[in-house]
Amino acid sequence: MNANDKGVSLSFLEEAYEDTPEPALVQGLLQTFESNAQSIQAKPVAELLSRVSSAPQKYAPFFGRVSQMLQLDEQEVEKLLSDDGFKRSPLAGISYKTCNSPALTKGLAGTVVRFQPKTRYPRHNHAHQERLLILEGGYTDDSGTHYGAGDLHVMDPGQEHDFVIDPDGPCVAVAVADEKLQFSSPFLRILARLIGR
Amino acid sequence: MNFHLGTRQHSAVSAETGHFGRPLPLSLMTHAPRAPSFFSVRFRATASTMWTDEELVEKMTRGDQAALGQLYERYAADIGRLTVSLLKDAALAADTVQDVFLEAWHRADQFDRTRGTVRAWLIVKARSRCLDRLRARTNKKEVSLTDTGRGKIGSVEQSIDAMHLPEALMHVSPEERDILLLGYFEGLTCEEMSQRLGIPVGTVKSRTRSAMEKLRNFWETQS
Repeated sequence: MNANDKGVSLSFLEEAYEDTPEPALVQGLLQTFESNAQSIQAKPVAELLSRVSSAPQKYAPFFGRVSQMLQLDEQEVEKLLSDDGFKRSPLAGISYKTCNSPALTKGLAGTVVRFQPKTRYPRHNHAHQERLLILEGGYTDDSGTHYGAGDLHVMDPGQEHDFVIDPDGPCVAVAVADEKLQFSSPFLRILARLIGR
Repeated sequence: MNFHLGTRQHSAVSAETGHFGRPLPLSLMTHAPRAPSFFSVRFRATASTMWTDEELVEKMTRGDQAALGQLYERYAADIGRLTVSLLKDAALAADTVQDVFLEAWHRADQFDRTRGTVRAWLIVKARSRCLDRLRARTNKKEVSLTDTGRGKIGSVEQSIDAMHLPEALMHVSPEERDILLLGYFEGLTCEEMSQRLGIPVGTVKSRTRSAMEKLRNFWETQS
């Protein structure tokens, strides 16, 4: 008796009666509910998915974590994760958007970074701990570890690394890292100094 | 859509540890390069139809829209029956179902499997969204009719029952009605209801029996 044809559980009735409850009674209860609760035509799943297919709503599951990371309230996070306002980085295939979060430790900046597929981020290290939360896509770092959407990649101070973005799509991540990265290549160090990053 | 999620198991470790702000021990950083072979993609595509509710919500916390779609296909009809029974308006009920799933998308990381099933989690959200809508409706009416500011939360909750639940359910006490609604809409067992309502299991059972008895009397007088 554990159900009707819609898979609704009525196991509590079985438990409440020492023997099986009268079938007529159970049927009556089901009918009462069914006559009250007409089924409705649910909207197509495509309509729901179209509402979460573009930024910022497609990143909504991360609003809470990003808000904690950047110490911003969720409305500001939602604005930050919209598609507009990205600046192109001098490094090919990378654009970014910085956020002003006064609550972050001095010397650290919060950034939303968007990488094109196959982009290689040059070798660098950090004076502070760097944290990178991946919202979309993924990359593989030089140790061979793959990081994908939902992963938080934590890199300790002084840990030198580089990574390559997956070939099958762009990668979007939120980073809390040094305002000024220390690139390993002397050329990039000079370039970074010149452009103030 | 996103078939390669299976490979993220290893990195889930880093997500967990990172979440609590501890640096990841190097020993846990297992090498997990992705192997996007034809076989693995096909295999996971098949397997993806068998995810449990909890797995789907876990995927949603990683931004997997396909998982949201699957959860919707699984429960939109169920949630729709609840919203239409409370709102008595098919269009509004269908909108509310979408709102419930959008909220689940946004708050997927707040789902706690120790506190109940995914279905119950959605039902609680649906019930709150319906109450919001009914409150908005009540407030609108009251603004236009009077300005006494009545429309308190309690009165809306009562009016759901008074206005919308079928007559038969009016013949049982509010406490008994709660039991029937929890048992029917949320599929809770007596034990779970006892925890939820903070009453002994014996009381849940006796209320169930007494509610059913009243229903039987009502139906007998009807026929």
